[in-house]
Formats: sequence, structure tokens, C-alpha cells
Amino acid sequence: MGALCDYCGEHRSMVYCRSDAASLCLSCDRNVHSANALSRRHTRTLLCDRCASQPAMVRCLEENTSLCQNCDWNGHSAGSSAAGHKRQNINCYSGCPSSAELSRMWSFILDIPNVAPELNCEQVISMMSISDSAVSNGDNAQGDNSLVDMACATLDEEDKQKSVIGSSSEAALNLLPPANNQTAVSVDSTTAKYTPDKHMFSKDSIYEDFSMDDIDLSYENYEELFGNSHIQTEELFDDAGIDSYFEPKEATAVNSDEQPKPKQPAASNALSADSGMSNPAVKEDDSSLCIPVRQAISYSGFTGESIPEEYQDCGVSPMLLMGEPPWLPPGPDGSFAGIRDSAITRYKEKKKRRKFDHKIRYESRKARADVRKRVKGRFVKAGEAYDYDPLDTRSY
Amino acid sequence: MKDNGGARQHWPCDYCGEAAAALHCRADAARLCVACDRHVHAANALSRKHVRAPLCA
Repeated sequence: MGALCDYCGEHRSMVYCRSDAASLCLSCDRNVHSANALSRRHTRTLLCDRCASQPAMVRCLEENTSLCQNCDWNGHSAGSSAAGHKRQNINCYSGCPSSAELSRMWSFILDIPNVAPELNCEQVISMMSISDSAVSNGDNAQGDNSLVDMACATLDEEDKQKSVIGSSSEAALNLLPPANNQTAVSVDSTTAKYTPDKHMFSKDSIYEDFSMDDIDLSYENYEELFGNSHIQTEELFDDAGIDSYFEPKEATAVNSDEQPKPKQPAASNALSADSGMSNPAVKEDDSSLCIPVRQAISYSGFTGESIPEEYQDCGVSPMLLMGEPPWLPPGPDGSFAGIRDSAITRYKEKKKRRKFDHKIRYESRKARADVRKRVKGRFVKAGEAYDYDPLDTRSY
Repeated sequence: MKDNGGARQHWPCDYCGEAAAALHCRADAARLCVACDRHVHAANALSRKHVRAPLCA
């Protein structure tokens, strides 16, 4: 990205648009964001002076530089001599403010050129070259604005430009004729340089998401992606293993009265649903255990069509396919097996009820946390220094 | 803000406010109908790069 505008690639970028994730010079920012109502809502903020790639969050008053979070932390790390520098937050703007409004908002910036909305890019380039050179001559901000105001108002026709040269006594305006000659050249170079933007964007890792191919993919594959997940949840319950699991349940419920109590440890039980359920030695307690479990499966399957529920079900079915542990009372010789089996059963029951969602337990705490000031992401007390205030920076 | 209680009209387009929104633009944080999406995002090289995803419908 460097320090050049992402749109024209000609001039130094001044502001950063968070929605577009692009650094733009002021003229391109004006052009791009005045195109329609949606782009007008984008928030733009100043660029960091040091790295010129991130949006600036604070203005260091001692060094007179705008810094992004990283440069601020690096430059003002605790323990260095610069740790006590006073910083003020930088505001962002949206819409189409004039240069007067911008300079009012960012009063520490002296060289905001006046960008009239009706001008196209080429004329603005010439005006920006005027203002840049004027600043370098050491003129004050007032003089610049009035000077450029005059230039802006009369820039519609080239004849009037020459009259501006004659009327002003500023030395900087002597650069206007060469700037005019350069406009013709810059027009061609602007248009010519514009085409490789696509490649420029595809190279940067930041613009991975912006490739045109992704748009079509997300649209076309939507049904495929989500249709598949529906199919998967259906298949889960069309599984032959689970169907056969249900059928013999009635058979075992009938037969269970006649069966003696087996003392088979859980491990020796059949490892597949068929053999487990067709085993006539299964006790009544097992079948009673099966019923709530089966209902749990069907309930969770039919209500949950999302993918996390799927994982839960996949965990359930193979677990039960391994066979339920017999509900042994702790006898003298099998006491440990009984306790262990009940513990296993309890674990398996709780495993079914696991939920790894993002759960907010207390809404009031979340409300408080959302407005707290932070330093490096950590909360700080009310009176202390902070580098992020969620109430100050709002997206829209 | 669903228009019809019974017929599930969904969200109106944020730009024209008339048609039902079909796409969501992450960069603009807006739901747009297909026509407005085309109009808005064809305006600009930067907006052409916005990733848009279809809405649940």
C-alpha cells in the first residue's frame, strides 16, 4: 500500500476508509464517496504518519504526529522517555465535508487543500500541487485557503487561471503554468495507470476478499453449501444403524421381563447397534435407558439444522452403538465396576448436553463492558489514560 | 421490520426502500435488492470490489 492513493496511485494518500479498507488522497476520497448514498456513509479517518498504512487513532501533541494503534504503542511504550506524551483522539468523518470542515475537525493539519465537488480529478491534481508547494514555502493556513479558494472558483476555464496568476502576489503561484502543462500529461497517466488496479489489488493480501470471483462464488454456491448441510442432517437419521436401533426396542421391552439379570461389564457388550439390541440378555433397565436417549437424539436432530448440532449427534450415535452399560448395583465383587459404569453413563449424558455457543450470562455486564475504555484491549479505570473508547469511534 | 406478518416479506432494500433485499454488502453494511446492488456497486472501482453475500430467504 505504501503512501500512495489506492485509487489513482498518483498522490500521497491522506485518509483511510474503513469500509473500503483503502487509503485515498483527498480528491479521490471526495470522488469515490460522493458517488452514492451508501458510500457517503463510510467513515474515513486520517492515516498514520509513521507507517502510512493504518488508520490513525491518536494525535501525539508533543511530536505533532498522527499515529495508529501500533505506532502509538511502539513509540510510547511504558518505560521509555516518550511514555508521558499527551495524546488526543482523532475523529473520523463521513459524508462529503468541505476542506473548511476538515481543517476545523483536524485543526492540527495545515495543508488540507480545497476540493470542490464539481471538479474532476485532473484539475484537482493541479490544485493540490499548488497547495503543497505553498505549504513548503512556509505560508500560513489562512493564506493557503484563501489562495486556493480563489483558484478553485476560477478554475473552470483556463483563461481565468491566468488572471489568478496575475492578481496574486504569492510566489507559489508561479508554479501554476508548469502545473497546467502537467495536467494534460497527468490525465493520460491517470487513465493509463488506472487499469492495473485490478492486479494491484489482487497482489495485496488485504484485498483477498475483494476479488470479483468471490462474489459469484458466494452467490452460486449458497444453495449448494446450505443444501448440503440439510442433506447431511437428514442422512444422519436415515442411517440404517439408527433405524434398526429403534425397531428391536419393542422386542427387548417384551423380552426383558423373562431375562435373568446379567452381570456383563460394559466393555463386553456388543459394539454394534444390531447385536446390542438383539441381545436377549439386555435388561429392562437398559431399554428404559434407551428410550430417553432415543428421544434425545430425535429431539436434537429435528430441531437443530445447524452444523454444531450435527457434531453433537455424531458424538451421540457411535457412543450408543457401543452399547449401554448394564445398570449394575454395586455388589461386593463388582462395586468398582458399578460406580465406574454410573460415572460413565453420567459423563455420556452430560456430553449430549454440551453446547459450545457464545453465551452471554449477564446482559447488564455486557452492556457495561461495551462502553468501557480500554488500553491495549484491557479495561482501564475511569480516570486513567486510554487508547480506545468504544463510544468515540462509531462505524456509522 | 418485516412488512407482512403472514407472508414473510423480509427486509426492504436499504437504498430504494421498495423491493425486498436480496444481498448484503459487508463493506457498506447494507441490505440491497439486486437492482440497487448493481447500481450502487457499478459506480466505483472501489465499490466494485465489495464482497456481497445473499441474504437468508
